[in-house]
Amino acid sequence: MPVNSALKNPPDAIEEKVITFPEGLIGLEDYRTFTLAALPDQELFRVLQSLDDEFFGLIVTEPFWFAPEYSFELPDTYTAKLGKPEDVQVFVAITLADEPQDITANLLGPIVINRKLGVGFQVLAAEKEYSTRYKICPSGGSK
Amino acid sequence: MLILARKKNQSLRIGDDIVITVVDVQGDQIRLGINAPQDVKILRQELYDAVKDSNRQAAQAAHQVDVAAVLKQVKQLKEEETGSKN
Repeated sequence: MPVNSALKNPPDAIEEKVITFPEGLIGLEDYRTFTLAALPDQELFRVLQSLDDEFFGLIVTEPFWFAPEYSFELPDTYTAKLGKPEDVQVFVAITLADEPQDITANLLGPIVINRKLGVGFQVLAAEKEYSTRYKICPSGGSK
Repeated sequence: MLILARKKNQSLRIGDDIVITVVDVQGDQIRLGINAPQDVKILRQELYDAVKDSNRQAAQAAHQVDVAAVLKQVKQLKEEETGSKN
């Protein structure tokens, strides 16, 4: 199966192990199995590719390189299911645009994943009024 | 939809283990206290909707944009930024 038909001009992504989202994604509760595929020549971004719908995939990135202060409270009910804290990674979904300065990240609905256990959740970072449209390259190449 | 009238400090029980209490009423704002088991997800509807819409938009944009090209630009911008700091 093509790894990321969710993308226009899919590059050859390297498939990874299956990550199960027991609750699905927010608003897409039926989408429960994914891979976190790497993109060629890209260390910053990955594709969270649905295995339930080959045309659905989210570009994700760890948010700390563009939002170093980003933090949220993970409810105990999730920490219990996510295994060792040091194995848990935080990702946010990216809404792409043709120009880097228009690319946004969804900081309100972070995606927490333990790749060793193969489990993940999308949660709400509700306590700090984070945006679903946070610009990751605000000055994007304007020089 | 079931519609019930409740006054301040009155409660509502849903099933065996969820109790919702009207804690305070100020004009058009109501404060609710909710007691529920830990595994019951309680989300503010508008935040849930915002993330749901964002997930859909993100998936759609990935179909429409030349992913490899634009992400390469982001990577270059980030490298330039890091370089100029050092």
